[in-house]
Amino acid sequence: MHADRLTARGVAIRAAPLPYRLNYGLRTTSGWITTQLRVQSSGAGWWRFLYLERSADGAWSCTTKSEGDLDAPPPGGATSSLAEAFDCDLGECPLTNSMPVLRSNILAQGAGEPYDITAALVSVPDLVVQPSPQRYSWARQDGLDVWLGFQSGLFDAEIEFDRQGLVRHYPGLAHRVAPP
Amino acid sequence: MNQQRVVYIVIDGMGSDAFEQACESGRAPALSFIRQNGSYVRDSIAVFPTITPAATASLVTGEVPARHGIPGMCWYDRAAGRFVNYGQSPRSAIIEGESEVIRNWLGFLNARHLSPDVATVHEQLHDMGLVSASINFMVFRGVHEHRVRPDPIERLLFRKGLPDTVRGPKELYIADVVSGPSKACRKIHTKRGGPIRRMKAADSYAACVTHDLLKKRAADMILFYLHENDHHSHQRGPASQIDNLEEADKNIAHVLDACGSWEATLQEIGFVVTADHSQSPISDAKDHIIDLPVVFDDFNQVLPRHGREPLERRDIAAAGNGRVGFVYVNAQRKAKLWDRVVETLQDVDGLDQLMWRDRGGYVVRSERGEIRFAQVEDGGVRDERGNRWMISGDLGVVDGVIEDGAIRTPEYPLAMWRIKSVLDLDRAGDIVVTPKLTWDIKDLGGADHRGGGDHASLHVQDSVIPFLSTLAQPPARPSTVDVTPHIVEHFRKLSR
Repeated sequence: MHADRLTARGVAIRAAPLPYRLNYGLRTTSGWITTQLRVQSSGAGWWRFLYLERSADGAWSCTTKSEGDLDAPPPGGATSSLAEAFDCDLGECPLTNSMPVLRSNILAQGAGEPYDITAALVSVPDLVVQPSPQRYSWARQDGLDVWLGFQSGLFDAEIEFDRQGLVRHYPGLAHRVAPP
Repeated sequence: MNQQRVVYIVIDGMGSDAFEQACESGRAPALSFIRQNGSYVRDSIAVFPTITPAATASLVTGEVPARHGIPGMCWYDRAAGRFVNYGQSPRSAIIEGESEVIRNWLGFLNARHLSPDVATVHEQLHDMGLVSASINFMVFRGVHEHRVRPDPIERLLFRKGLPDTVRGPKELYIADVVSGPSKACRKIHTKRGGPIRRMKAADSYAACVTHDLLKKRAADMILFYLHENDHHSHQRGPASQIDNLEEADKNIAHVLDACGSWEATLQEIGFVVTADHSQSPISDAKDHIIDLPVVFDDFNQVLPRHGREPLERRDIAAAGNGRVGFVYVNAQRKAKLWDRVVETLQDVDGLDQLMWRDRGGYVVRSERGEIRFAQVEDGGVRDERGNRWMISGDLGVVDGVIEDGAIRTPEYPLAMWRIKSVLDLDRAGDIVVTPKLTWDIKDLGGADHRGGGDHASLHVQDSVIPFLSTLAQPPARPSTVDVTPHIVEHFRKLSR
């Protein structure tokens, strides 16, 4: 993590209901704008790969590969609908909530106007991409930790962030057990 | 366990994800057995370029390309004034001439191009009084002379390309042209059918020979190479690797049967398993394929179809190697040409990194900026292998992070060390280029792996390979250069 950009590489393993392993690599440019997300997911008898890239002029491109039988729509999606997106939101990955929060400066500013974005939502493990209107809004603060309201479609949660903009607790999804 | 002998297994192109999935889904019981009875590292790192000749030379010598001298599958030989091609694709072989390709691979790679200043595992073990074997491995240099015995069709096809003899370990098997003493497997390639299986290059033949050599106690160390995974992964993409590894596993199972049961075999024989590189998926789109001769269309360039042509008569030569490219600039006109060459490359859609040597250090440029670095004895920042580097510029070029005096580059593992390891080799050209993920560079003959898989770049997707060993004291964070020292050390301990 740098002053205004980050690079990440991660693994997610899920046992049920559909067992899979997912590897991802993510890169932002300055201003916490995502420039690259590569994701590979695989389970018993299937394998999918997605490479999303945002060019300097804001155009998204998407390359996908898939093999085997996963009962799901094909990976990828129309990138033309992502024109307003600066971020990727990788399903079940608390890291990808950090970029819009860091870019909005909402942690430093405190209570104020909510921050609305459109993210390129990547569902897992099928790696289908679609635009997702999302809202981050100030909820409360306790010491150095801040709770932000997060809305995406019908999903609504309060997520706990540290001052660096990284998720500490994401209800029902993730709880950080050690400092980064 | 009293593992007096060692089988060193290299599965071409095997990535860690595919390996784990094949094991955990029960489709690779032999590999799982070795994994359960030894140590396993999922993120061993291949040398850069992550391409078979460079990586297998590192696997067999324990040295980086700058030391062993083999940069890739294809490169421009300034001294000879022509491209060297060890067998990129049938199309490139037609352009270069099949005999020329065979001459480069069978004759020159081991006898001339592989540096005499490095010792192969076979040479090192011979010096210790041990016998070793090499089965279908590309880099096989040893001290024993073997006659090349092609069949009549090969003699006709390759004509003057075939040398009379090659030097290898005592037990040397190279496809159909060099067959060591093992006669047990002479019929196997005709039994199982299919065009590839008619050749002794088939994995099943290599497994049969390995099994036979173990039963006869004919060698202390056997290098058993399985290449079919890489071949299928190029054609069908890395997703095919789970199926491919299931097939490879049957051949490894046959080797594990050598002493009656797998447990009995493991009591006597140590196993080291790794790969030379991984593979990345390549886009189906035609516009994701980079053709270097087209990129340099405005330059006066050496083209492979011209045969021998010194670079002094031209401006530039470029050798595409899948997901890496080597660019050679006319030395006399370099100052005049340099900026134009770099600008031309920077304008190419799909290129990720450009790298070159500059004033005792190294430069890497991408659309994310430029970084300069040099290796130092003290100070600077250290990488995961303990090398120290002075670095300036934008770390984003290698996706680097510096924390507590250490640099990590997880998307381009061991970036500084691996870049230096190729740029210090003049044969890799003046500029080395890598494409972005899902992009590919055409080879000498204009072939590519669109819609399939390829490798050779610095990226993690091409670089992470599994490493397994049942021997004592395996390297904790291995690279391909650590395997031969690990095996040699095993035998040193036995001899004490």
